[in-house]
Amino acid sequence: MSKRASLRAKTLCFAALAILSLSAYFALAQQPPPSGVCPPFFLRDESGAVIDVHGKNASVPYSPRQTCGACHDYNKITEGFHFQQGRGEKLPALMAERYRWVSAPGNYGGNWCSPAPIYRQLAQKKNLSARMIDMTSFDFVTATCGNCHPGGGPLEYDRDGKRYDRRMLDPSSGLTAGGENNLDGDYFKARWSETGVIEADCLLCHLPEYDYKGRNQQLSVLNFRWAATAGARLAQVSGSVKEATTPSVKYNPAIFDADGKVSLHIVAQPRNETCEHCHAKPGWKKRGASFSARSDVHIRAGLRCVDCHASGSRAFDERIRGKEIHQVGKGDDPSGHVQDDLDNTMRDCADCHESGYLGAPIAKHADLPVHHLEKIACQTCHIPERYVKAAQVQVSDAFNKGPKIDPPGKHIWTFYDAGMKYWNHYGELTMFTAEDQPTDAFRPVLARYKGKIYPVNRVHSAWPGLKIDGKPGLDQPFMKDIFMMWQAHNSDAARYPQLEKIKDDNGDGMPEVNRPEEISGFIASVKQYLSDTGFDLAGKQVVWVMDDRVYSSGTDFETVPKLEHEASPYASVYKYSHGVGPARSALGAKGCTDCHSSKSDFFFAKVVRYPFGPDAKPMTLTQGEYLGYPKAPNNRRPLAYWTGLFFKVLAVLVFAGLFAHMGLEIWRHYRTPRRAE
Amino acid sequence: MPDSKPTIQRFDLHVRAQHIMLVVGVLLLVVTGIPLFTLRNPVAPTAASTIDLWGGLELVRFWHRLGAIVLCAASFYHLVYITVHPQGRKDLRDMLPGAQDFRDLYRNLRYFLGLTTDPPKFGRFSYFEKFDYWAAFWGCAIMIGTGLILWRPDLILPILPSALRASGFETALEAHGDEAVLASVTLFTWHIYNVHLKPGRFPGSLVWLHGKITEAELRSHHSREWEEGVKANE
Repeated sequence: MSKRASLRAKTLCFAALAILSLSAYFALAQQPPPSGVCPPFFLRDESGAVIDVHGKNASVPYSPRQTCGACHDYNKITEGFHFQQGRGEKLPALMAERYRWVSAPGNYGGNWCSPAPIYRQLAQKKNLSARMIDMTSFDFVTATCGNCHPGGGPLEYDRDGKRYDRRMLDPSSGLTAGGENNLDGDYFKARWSETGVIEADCLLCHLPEYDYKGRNQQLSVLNFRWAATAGARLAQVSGSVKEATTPSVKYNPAIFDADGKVSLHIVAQPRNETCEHCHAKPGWKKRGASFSARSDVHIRAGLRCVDCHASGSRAFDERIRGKEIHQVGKGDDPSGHVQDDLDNTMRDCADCHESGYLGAPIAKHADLPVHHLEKIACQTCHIPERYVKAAQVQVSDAFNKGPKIDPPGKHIWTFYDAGMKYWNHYGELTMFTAEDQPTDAFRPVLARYKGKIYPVNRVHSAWPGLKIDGKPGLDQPFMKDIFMMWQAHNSDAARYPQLEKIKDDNGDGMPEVNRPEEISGFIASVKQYLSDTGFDLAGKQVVWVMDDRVYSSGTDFETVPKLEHEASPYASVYKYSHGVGPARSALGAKGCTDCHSSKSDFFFAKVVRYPFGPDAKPMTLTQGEYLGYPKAPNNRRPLAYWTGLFFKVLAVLVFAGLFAHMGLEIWRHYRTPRRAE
Repeated sequence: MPDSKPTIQRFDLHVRAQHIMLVVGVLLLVVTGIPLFTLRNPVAPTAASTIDLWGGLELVRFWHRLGAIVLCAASFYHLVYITVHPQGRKDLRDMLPGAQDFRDLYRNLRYFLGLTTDPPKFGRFSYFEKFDYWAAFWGCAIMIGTGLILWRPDLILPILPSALRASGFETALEAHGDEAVLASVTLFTWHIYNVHLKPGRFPGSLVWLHGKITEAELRSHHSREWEEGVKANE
């Protein structure tokens, strides 16, 4: 290379370097400082226009998407599973095989919040008959799912990825508010063009003073678009879409500064109360969760939900770590399949109790044989009992006449607690807050899940199902059908008279389906009601399902497969991880006999096998039998197996030799006359 | 009768001390090992009631481990004795199995069956005594080795080869239980038979205490040793 060419190359390299450096400098200079504090900001409406309480455009609701999205990555944030609720996620194979009615793994399109069928089910996108539509995407909001759903995802976009309200407002779509809309499972009788959609409501979690009641009141009157404004207490909203009175908005001028900006008490990490707003109620029913200082050593120590369930930049697991990523660190729910790929992204016990993070005491477990820690989850010993009852059984066949059950459709759900006592859960919910949860201590069932023993609530189920010719799994009739069938019978005993056969056989005051004639009568009644009301029963057989038994009549049943930790393939199993007791109350703290004794619940507690036997009493087995301990511990590993075999063969040979030797010697002694010495 | 008084020193103080330690340790281990063995089937009510009888697993485990310590001490004492002490080294050499032992066994079986009228003449240690000794030797090695794994798996397993680490605990548990049954049944049948119940031996002697046997016993049970002694004195 000539000297001149070399000089030219050097100049070019220098210029390129300078351009890159300047670009990087200006790019970085454009970024807002990562302060973590929201500066005063403008509220914006859905078009992005500034809402100016001192001037114009002050009568429209604010849009979280446009307001928060001005600085934050709304799309990235709403990828979080709290927003999507399983929408668009691939259905796990086992779910697809078992549950004919699910289309996604989450609440939206999948299993509902209730531990077992039957519950409301999301309609398919395309339908052939209005009768076969139970719940549309629009109904998903009004069926109280929207009360906890923070917006975004399926509350904003249809299954084609289009925003509901804009699509319905587009004349070319042919969609009309309240119309049949081609029996489209997203638009059938929906009024999106009037109600608007529910955008992801950031303040629902990030504003501690958020008014959930106010928000949900707006949802109940179909003021979807206005719910976030009312919930954040930014304005008074009057009028309702439901009553066809156009909602109006009156902002509180005190929250705006002179520039027309608002400065709200926005926090990066939601408070415990925020999480509990949605998780307390189902946690009570499913796990007997009380999330209180008296029942949980971590809450007593002042920890917050987000300390373990960390997310965003503070996430513990790199799968979910990153600015504005809103995948909250989660555990591994045996029956919850939303984003299973993100299971165990939260901090687990060892993360803190081996490192001392946040002052956690280091776990010593001195003198505890190591295989205990390999085969038993921490929770098993450290959650020896629960303080608040959970639903161990959900049946959806008999009519539960308990008082104050709301909404009325839930009368077809009857719950039984850990002691198999009837529990009017929904009646209690209308009376009690989380602070009023009655104390009702019980010992969790222990079940083996993924090779370890966990304390769980393995829910049992009994429900009317539909067996579809030539297909695996089961379908369910609609919840409203079973409710209406009972309503018809309760108002006129001559209708569906076979339901009269269903009696209380165990004296707990509640009827239960268990005897052959009750089962047959119930199946016949459901079949009759569905036929009477035009339910498509072609290729379907009505069955009654108790746990893994599918009854086609009172006496004939087939057993369907279930997993090791399940009581029923059609009911959930909830692992216990909250409600951790102090170390001194753990199993083993008082010695090995906490488990290794004839009085120990670990081996000898009764575990429900089927909720109702022929006498309507539970069929049980011992905890040890359930865990597979009636035989000697397994020695399936080859080395242990061959060692055992070696010693057994050796013992046979040695004993045979020794006993033969002794026998012969004695025989000789007594056979031969003793010679005189 | 001069023969009725034990005058011949068969075992020195070291051997007697080792034997007493072994008796104490093994008895403690067997008695406390039974409830622990029942835990192989922990769900059986018998297991739990056996443990309860002992006042809980901690107490059983404490006494079992105390027995283990005594056994370890006896074994260590014995290893030092047979490698350092002249009598110990000699006894070890005499205790090694040889072709004569198989000839003695053969002859003894023929004698039992009435095919010969004369039993074999044994040396210092007969083949069944050697069997007793090496069975105990093997048993101690197995029980102490596997017992250490069960006692402190956190310390022992990491230093084992990786192939053994994964199933080391299970294997140790299996071997410990199986060998315990083998050893204790052998002990309470074979050994007790040979030293107490065998025709001509009942109810046994105090050789374990003072270490001495009578000349008649030497002549009768260890006649080759006696003959060698007579020749040596000639």
